[in-house]
Amino acid sequence: MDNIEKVHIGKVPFNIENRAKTELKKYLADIRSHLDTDTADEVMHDIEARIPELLAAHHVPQDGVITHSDVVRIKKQLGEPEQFSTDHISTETGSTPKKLFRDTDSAILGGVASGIGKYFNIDAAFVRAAFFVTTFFYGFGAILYVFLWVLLPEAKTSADKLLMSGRPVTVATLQHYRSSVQKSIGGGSMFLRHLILKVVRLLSFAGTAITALLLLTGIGIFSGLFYTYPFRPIVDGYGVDYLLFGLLWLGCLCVIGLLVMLTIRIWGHRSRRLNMSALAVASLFILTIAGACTASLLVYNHFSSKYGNNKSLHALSVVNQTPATPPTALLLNAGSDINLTYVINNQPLHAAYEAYPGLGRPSINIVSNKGVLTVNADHLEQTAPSCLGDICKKIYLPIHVFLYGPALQTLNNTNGGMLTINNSDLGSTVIVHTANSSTTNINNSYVTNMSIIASSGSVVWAGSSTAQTTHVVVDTTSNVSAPATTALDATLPNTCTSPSIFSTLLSISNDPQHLTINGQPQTLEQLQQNSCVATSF
Amino acid sequence: MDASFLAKEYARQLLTQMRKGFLVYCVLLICSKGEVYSTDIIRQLHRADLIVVEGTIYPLLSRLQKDGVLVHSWHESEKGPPRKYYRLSDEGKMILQELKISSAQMQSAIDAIEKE
Repeated sequence: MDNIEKVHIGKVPFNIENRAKTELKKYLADIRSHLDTDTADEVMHDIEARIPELLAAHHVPQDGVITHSDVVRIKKQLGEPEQFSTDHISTETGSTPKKLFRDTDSAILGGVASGIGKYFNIDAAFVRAAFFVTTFFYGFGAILYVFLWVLLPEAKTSADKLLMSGRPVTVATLQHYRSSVQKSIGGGSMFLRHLILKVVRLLSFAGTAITALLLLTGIGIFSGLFYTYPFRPIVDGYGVDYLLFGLLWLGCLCVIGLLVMLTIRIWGHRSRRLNMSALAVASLFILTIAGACTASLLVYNHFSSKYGNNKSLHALSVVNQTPATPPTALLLNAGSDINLTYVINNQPLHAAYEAYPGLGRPSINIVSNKGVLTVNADHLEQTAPSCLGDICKKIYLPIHVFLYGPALQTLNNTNGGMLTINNSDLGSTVIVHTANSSTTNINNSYVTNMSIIASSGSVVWAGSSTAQTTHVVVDTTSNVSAPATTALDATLPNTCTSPSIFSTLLSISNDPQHLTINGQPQTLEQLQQNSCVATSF
Repeated sequence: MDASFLAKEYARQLLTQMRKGFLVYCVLLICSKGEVYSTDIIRQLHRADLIVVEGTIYPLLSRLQKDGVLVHSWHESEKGPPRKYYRLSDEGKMILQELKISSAQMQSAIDAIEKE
């Protein structure tokens, strides 16, 4: 016997003993404490709805009295509070880990930026901007993007897409996602994607061929091949512009190379194995491009500042051993690297050379002795400051030397160098003697009597000058273009059956009044039949 | 410590894990046959010699319903307040199908290994 109270359980009214009520209340509270908070209310509701049925089955109807033994029976039927805990049966709750995928639904290219945005919870536009900006630093952004495109998996299934955003994968979220995604896949990004793919495919074939070209160019620059003849003129200051242009072109081709990699990625997306080999090829390609471009840029950088148009004139010493005897003859005894311009003025003898910044002083010797001005420069070799190891150590760069002195009567250029005289009044007599592949230019000058003796593959250009009388001796290997003259006397070989690389040995630009070849006066017809002579009048 | 005690303890922990998924599977199977009330589910489990207390079932049903695997409908009852009757949702049916296939695979794998 006990006191009773009126209660309701699940909206069903009952009478309950005090002790039973305390016990039942505690039991229900214990159960609730073991439930997941998000389903607790529902579960408690179900349990309270169940209890009246259990009581009815044990002869405690509505308005009946619940005793302690009834509560015991209920506890036995429903179970201990610990058994209500979902540690016993658990499905995924709580936060799911996020996985990094490529988001191809909202992709422009490959969904890399969208995927990264979803993973870090930032707008994909910021990620895209970051990729774009860093591309200007040696293409880092673009290269990283393509790497990620190859490496990251695509979020294909709905479960993937939920994991990408970090939402738990349950039927409810899957359902919600599917319906919301159907609306968001628009036509805009798909069209852009197809367009880009088309462009990439068009360029991919060209890109593959260009790879080979890039490799060869890179090898050429790297190995110093371009510093030897015939590429050397390119490095001679003025030609560096072309080198720059070529390197910029290489840089643009890097972009094409990247597009080739994209194509490989697109084609290779089916099989995992193809992916790996595509990745290997792509990596090699990147390394080649990066290496060639960087090397080219480094070399150009070095040379444009040092050997570009920043040359300045530095003085050369002229040793005048006989100051009382001014020179009347010039002997240029220098190799093919020397380009000597002789300037006739009334100043004391002095000389200068065009210096490449950073290079040492060339060894050029200028001595005036007993009327002979000798310029000595052996095969001119300059030691450059080290660039790229030993490649730049020894460079044969042409040196331009200026020599100022009085008018000369004899010019000897016999060791392969180049001698130039511009715009000068040469006086009454000038004898030009060239040999051993030397080159002498007499431009826009005047002399009364000129004698030209050319042998062993040398060249004399006097066509823009004027002489009263001219005497020319040429052998089969050399070439002379005579000044405009009134009397020309030429000594030529008898036969020109095998002309040198120049088609003729003697060029005459005007019609001299008196013309003899090998002592014989020539008529116009004879002249035109002579294969050793070219006339342009 | 007794060796057999440790073995039993270890087995118990493994079984707890296995029982979780197994129980869910059984509940889904029961709910696939039509609309069932919670006591029906428990009775069927008892008949299959799966002893569970009701306390285990209610949170499970609630969870499955929240995840969209089960749906419920209210049926009027003469004996008291309306009751919740559970059945599989469409997704639940697909999930059950997947589970059936997987469990058949698991069973044949076990058979194959046992035969070796």
